[in-house]
Amino acid sequence: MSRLDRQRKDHETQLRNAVDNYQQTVLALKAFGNEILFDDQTRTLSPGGTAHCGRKLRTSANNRKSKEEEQKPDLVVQRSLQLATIAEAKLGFPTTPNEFEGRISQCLDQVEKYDDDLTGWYNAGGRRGTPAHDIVLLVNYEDAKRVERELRARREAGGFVVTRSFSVISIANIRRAGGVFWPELDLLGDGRLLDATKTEKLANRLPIHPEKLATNPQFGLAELYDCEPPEPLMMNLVWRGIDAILTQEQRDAVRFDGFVELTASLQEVCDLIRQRGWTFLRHDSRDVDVPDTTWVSRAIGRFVSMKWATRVEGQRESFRFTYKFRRSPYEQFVRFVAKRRAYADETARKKAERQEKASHKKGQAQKRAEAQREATRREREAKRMPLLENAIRNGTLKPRRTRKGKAAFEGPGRV
Amino acid sequence: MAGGMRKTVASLYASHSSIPHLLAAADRACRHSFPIGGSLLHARKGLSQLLSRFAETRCKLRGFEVSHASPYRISLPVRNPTPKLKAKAVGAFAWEDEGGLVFLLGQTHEVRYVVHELQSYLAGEVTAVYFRTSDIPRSLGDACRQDDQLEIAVSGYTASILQGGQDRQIKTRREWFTSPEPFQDFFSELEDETQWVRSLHLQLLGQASARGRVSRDMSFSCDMGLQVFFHNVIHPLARVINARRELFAKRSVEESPSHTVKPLRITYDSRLFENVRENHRLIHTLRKLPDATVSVFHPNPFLHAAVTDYTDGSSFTIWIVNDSSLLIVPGTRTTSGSLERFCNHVNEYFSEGRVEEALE
Repeated sequence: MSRLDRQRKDHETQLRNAVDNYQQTVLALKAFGNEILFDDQTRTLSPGGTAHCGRKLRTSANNRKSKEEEQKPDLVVQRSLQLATIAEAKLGFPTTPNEFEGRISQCLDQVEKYDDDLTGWYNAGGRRGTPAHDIVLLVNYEDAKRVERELRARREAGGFVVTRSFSVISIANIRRAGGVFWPELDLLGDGRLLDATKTEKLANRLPIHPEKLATNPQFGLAELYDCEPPEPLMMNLVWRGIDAILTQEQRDAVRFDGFVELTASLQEVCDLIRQRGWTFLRHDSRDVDVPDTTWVSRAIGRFVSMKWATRVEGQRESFRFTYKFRRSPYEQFVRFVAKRRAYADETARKKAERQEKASHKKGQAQKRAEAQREATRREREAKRMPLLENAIRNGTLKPRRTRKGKAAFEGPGRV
Repeated sequence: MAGGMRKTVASLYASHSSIPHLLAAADRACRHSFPIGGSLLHARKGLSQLLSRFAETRCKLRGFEVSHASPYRISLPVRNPTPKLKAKAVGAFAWEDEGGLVFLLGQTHEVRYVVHELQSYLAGEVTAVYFRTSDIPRSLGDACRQDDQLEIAVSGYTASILQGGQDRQIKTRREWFTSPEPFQDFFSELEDETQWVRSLHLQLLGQASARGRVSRDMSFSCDMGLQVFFHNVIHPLARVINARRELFAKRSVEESPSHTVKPLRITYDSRLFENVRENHRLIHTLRKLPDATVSVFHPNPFLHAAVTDYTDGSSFTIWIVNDSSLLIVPGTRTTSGSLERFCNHVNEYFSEGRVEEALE
């Protein structure tokens, strides 16, 4: 296998892992949000409860980390006027100690920013009130123990201060006895939520059922959250969105003519994705608009590179898609992006090599020039010294010391 | 062709004022060893709406023609004649029953051709319907209960069987019995092995005899006693299928009354997905679903994939939730035909399970 093929394979693996991580994050946010909205007494979702992805909340002037600035937690769940939960998903911590500690510090900074009298909560129907809120960190099962240990140590050392209820919840795929095998939420250590029933449920590990999550009217079908997904995933959503708007006549055209062309603007594609229910429901203008147009623009840029779309002349954000019934488009996206990245890596590597060679050559040339100059200087010096000594012996030149103590000669002309 | 037979065949192709007349004509043709067959389809917006699409450009260019009254005679030219299909034009009769299913009847090869062209030109409007192994003993049992003298026996069958240890494979088993087995005995033996039926050859004995074949996609043929076969096998089976079709309806966000999805589950009696290789076998099977694409995000240990059906733009997500079931989560737009087609594909080419509600 050539170096390029190996790089391509590595990138494919990285992309698939990135997609997996992203989807696990979405699943974790949905699972946690659904559980918080679930009323254990009525066994239904709390009426009036809302879940927000990337909602803009404002810190107060007393915030320890960030005064009067907007924060956008990954998930804000307002179960009622009195109770809310803020969750931040951090799936995937680095393994090297320095990077791990750096990442932990970032997480804790964010958590401390949320530990404040935040404003900007959702007020449906003009209801007022600032709910009390929990803070939750959602992590991967593999990282959970490490993270929880580090947080406890920092808390005990006084380096991490949180006054509100704070907990670390891990999401894991665990095979249970009896063959049931599904992701679970697990509240770690002595973390707690304001709702004691929820604390107990999560501490006893809560299996997540996708069929229940799917029926949530606010995010049942969501596949995006407030973070740009890996390119193949975004491309796949764009492609599925385009497929969904084809009319029967257009489908017949694809079936019989092989393809159909349709034009859509960047904004129309973003709207398509929202209409399919692939994002969290946006309740008001404080909820972030997902997907961001830049994400979709990058994805469509890839389609243009693949020649599956072209830009419409004269209209900057308008594209003409050549739609066909393609086999495994998602696999094609992964392979294409991996190939491009491998080529980019290879180009960068070759450029670095060329520069290194050039600088090595330059260095060598400089060294040679330096050596040459040194040799010339020594030669001249070697020629000069005997003449100087003769002149002193003959008395033509008399040595003396200058006022500064340097050696000098008195006599006619240069030696 | 002898004069009597010519007349019989001609009477089949003549227009018919009612379905009993048509069935009687077909029965006469059958008695003269004329190969009579049929099929069952579902028209999403009803048969009359489907037939009105014949006036559209593509269908018109193709040459679809239809008579004015039910039972409708659909005819169209043959593009590439074959030894079995030598005629320049073929036709089949179509009518709709009270359950919304469309019956087609005519010469076996012609009906097959017409069904194929209908599914090509009107994909998304017309979908196939399928029986499950458990449907047959139930419907045959219903028929026998209505007629004490009726005896139904299996003279041959084709089934898929799941074999192998770690690396399982689907094998096809075909068997013909020298003396037909009563259907009750046949199906109880089938239950003992992991087999599911793809087609059955049946013999009916009673006041009148019949002999015919019915396949999983509800295409059928008869070489004796068409009316008896139709009333005691096809019609009861159609009723069972119709009753079950409700399960696939109104599951997407667009169609569901609550505007939230209603997931489905395919449940197996054994812990099929305990072996992670079964996930890969399922992925391999799903990738063979015609006119659809599968995006696999996570293959194992749990499976997460998205399916897009090109025939009508339906999309849904697949999850393996535990060792013995497969979860199907419809999307914003998912038609009943698409769900049924997907479930049958899994049942026929992966392993047959029970399709049921995911949330009880």
